Amino acid sequence: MEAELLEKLKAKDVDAITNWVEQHQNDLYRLLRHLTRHTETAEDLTQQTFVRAIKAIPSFQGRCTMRTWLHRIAFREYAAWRRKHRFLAPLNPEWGKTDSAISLIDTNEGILDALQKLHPAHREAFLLHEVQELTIEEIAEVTGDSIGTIKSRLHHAREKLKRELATTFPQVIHEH
Amino acid sequence: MNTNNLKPEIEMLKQESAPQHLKAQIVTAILNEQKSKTMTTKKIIGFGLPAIALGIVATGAIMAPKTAIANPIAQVRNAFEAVRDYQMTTYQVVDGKRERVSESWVTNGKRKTFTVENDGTLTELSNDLIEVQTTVKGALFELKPIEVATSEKVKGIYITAIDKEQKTVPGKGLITVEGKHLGDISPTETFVISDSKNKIREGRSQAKSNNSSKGSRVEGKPIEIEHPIKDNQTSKGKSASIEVVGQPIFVSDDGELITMSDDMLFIVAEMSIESLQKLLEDETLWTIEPNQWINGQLTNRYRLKESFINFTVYVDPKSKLPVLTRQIQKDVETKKETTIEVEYNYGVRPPTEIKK
Repeated sequence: MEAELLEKLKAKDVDAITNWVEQHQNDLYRLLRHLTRHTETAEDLTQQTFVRAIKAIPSFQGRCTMRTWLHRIAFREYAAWRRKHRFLAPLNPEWGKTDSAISLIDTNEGILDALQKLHPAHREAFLLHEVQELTIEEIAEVTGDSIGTIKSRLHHAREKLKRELATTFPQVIHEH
Repeated sequence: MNTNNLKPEIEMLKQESAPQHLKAQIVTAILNEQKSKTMTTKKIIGFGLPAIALGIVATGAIMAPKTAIANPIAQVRNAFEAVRDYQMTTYQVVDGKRERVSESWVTNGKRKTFTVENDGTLTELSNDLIEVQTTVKGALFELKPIEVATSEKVKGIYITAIDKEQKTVPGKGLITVEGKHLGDISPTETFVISDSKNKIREGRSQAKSNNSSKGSRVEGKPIEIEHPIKDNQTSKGKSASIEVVGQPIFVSDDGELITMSDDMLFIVAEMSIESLQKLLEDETLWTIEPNQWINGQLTNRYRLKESFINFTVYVDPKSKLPVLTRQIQKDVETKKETTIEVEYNYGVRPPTEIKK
C-alpha cells in the first residue's frame, strides 16, 4: 500500500499528494507551531517540509515510518530556521507574542511560557514525546541524537517544567 | 514529575491544527516544485530582507494567490521613477520626545546628509553613505559581494561557520572591504567561532590599508583554523553568516546571500527611495491598511510582515509616494523603545547655504 502511495507521489498524482498532505499536515504544523510559536513561520516551515519531502521521496527507504520521516524533515527545517533566528531572537524578545493569529493554545500561556523557559533541546524532546507522541527511538531518529541523550533531555525537561509550573499548577508537585 | 499531571495542558497543545488554507497552499507549492525556491526565499527575507534575494521572488508561482495587493505596491514603486529631488528628515522618538537627528537632500541622485548637533546646527557627513563591498572567501564558504551600511557603523565583521548538523565549526575566511572614503574602516576585528559552545577565538586581521582619492581597499588576513575543513563539510548543508554592526547577514543553505543591509540603513541613516523601492519588490511582505491618519495626514499604511524589525511606510494615497517611514527598535536589556521616523518631502532642493 505504501509502495503504491510512494509511486503516486513520485508521479505527482494530485489526489495522492492531497491525501498525503491532509494526513500529515496537522501533525507537522502542530509541532512547528509549538517550536516556533509563530503561525506564519509554522505555515512556511510546514510547506517547506512537504516540498522537501516530495523531492526526497525517491530516497525514502521505509526504514522508519512516513510519519517519523516527515518529522525528521520538519525538524531539520525548524533547526535551520532556529539557527538563523537565534541571531534575531535577542533583537526581538517579543517574538512569538506578536503573532496576530491567536490560536486556542495561546489561551493557555502557563504551559507555553514554561516550555519557552526550557533549553531548546529539552523543549524539542518534550514536544516530540508528549505532544507528538513519538517514541524515544523515533525521536532519536528525528533529531539524530542518541537514545540516552533523548532520555536525559526528557528528564531535564520534566524536572524544569515541574519547577516552572509549581506556582501555576501547584497540584503538579503535590500529586504523585 | 509524572506528566500525567500535565495531561490537560498537553491535550491542549495537541489540539493545535493547521489553518484551513494551508493544504491548498502546500499542494500548490508541491505541484510547482521547481519554483518552490520562491517560498524559501520569502520565508528567509521575512527576517532578513535580502536585497539580492528580492529579485528572485517576484515571479514565484506560489505568490500568485497573494497578487491581489500587487497594484498598490507597484504604484508606489512606479511613483518613485518620477522623483529626482527629495529631502529626508530623520527624527528619533524616545519617551514621547521627538528629536530631529539628521537631514538629507538628494538632488539628481546625489545625496548630502547632515547630522543635527546638540545646538541645532547641521554638520555634513563627508562619508555618510559609502558603498562598501564585503567579500568573504574561504574553504567553507564563499559569499557574494554585498553592500553594507555606513562607514561609521562598520565596526567588525564576524564569521560563523555552521555545518549540516547545525554545529558551529572552525571556519576560514578572508575579509576584504572595498569602497570609497573608507576612512577608518578596517576589518581589524575578525573572529571565528571555533567550537559548538560559541567560544570565540579571535583572529586579528593585521589589516592593510590603502586609502586614496580613487577608493580604498582594506584587506584582512585570512583567518586560520585549527582543523581543516573536510570535503564533506562543504556540502549543501553548509551555511555561514557574517555579522556587521550587530546585524546578521546570512548565507542560506542554498548558497544565497541573505543580507541585512537595508535593515542597517533603517537604523543608521535615512532610507533612500531606491532602497525603499527595492524593499517593495516583494509584495507579499507587506500588509496594506488604507485610510490611516499620521501626523494629520490621511495615508495608506504599508506594514512589513514577519520581520523582526517593526517597520511601516505611510504612503500618500494621491501621489503614491511615501511621506513617512517609522521603525520601532527595542533595547533588549532596558526594554526601552526607540522610534525612528523619516519624513519625505519631494521636489525639494537643498538651501543654497546650509546653516551651520
